[in-house]
Amino acid sequence: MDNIEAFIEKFIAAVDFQEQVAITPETKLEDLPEWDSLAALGVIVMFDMEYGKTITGEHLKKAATVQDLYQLLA
Amino acid sequence: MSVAQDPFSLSGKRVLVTGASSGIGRQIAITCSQMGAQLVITGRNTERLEATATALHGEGHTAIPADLSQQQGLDLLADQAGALNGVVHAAGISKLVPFRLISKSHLDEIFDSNTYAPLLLTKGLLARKRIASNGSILFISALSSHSGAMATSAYAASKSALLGAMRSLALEVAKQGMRANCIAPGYVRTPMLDGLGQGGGNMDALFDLTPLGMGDPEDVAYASVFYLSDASRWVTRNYFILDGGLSTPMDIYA
Repeated sequence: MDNIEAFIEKFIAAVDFQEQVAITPETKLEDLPEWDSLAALGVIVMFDMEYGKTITGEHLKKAATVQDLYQLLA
Repeated sequence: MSVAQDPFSLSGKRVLVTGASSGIGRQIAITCSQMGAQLVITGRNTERLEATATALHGEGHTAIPADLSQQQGLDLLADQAGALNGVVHAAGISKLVPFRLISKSHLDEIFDSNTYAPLLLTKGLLARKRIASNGSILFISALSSHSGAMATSAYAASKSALLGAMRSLALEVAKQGMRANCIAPGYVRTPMLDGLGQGGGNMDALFDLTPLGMGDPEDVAYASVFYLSDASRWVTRNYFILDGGLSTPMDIYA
């Protein structure tokens, strides 16, 4: 499994931020200006393609921070 | 009116339905059997296909498990289907993927099931002279083929492709008295739609916009009965949107 730094890189690629943002494990998803339904979908597809892991919109709703997302890999 | 005189009856017709193990295909098979047709049903999942077979009304139906994304599966089905009066291509898959994440493998997967399988199966059936003159070939496309919902590029493209193919095919088979048409359903309660909801799609807003709300597989099945029956004998090259009124405010012309 990737460490969280590698995961954050993939997260950034999946959301495809137009404005560069600094992201740490503690970053809250709702604080990200570009976090919307298409961004969330990108993360779902990234989990599937990069990690072979199926997550749902419900999982995402329960995740507050980037760290929470990372823990969905476990 | 007796069944024999009823132009909407499917009595005496043998109909092949793909994707019959679940969702729209399953309901089309069941409804066609209620309308008197003898069914040939196919799907990938043997267990669920058998479950559909037991739900069919009447006798003499055939279940042929096959993976139509493989040439072997297409050949097997075309070989074993027997004589047909109608074909419904209801098998299909969908996956929400933002455009920036599409790939050759994603496009291949969607097109194999949604576009290549129905076209190649039709070709295989025609080559073996399986479809009777006055037979009806029906493709289940999707409203998304025009409306292009977000993150459905591959799916929408695969379903749009059926429209052009159907119109050309219908010209070529008209002299044999065969007809080809597409039904384009909007949002219908199926396992596919459930999967999209769990895959991050927000469906609630769409249902609010639909005057008659979300559709049921029966709604697509009833329209399919019309397209398979002699009642639609003058209908070909037709693209029939079935969406509870959702798309009327959109600029949609087939």
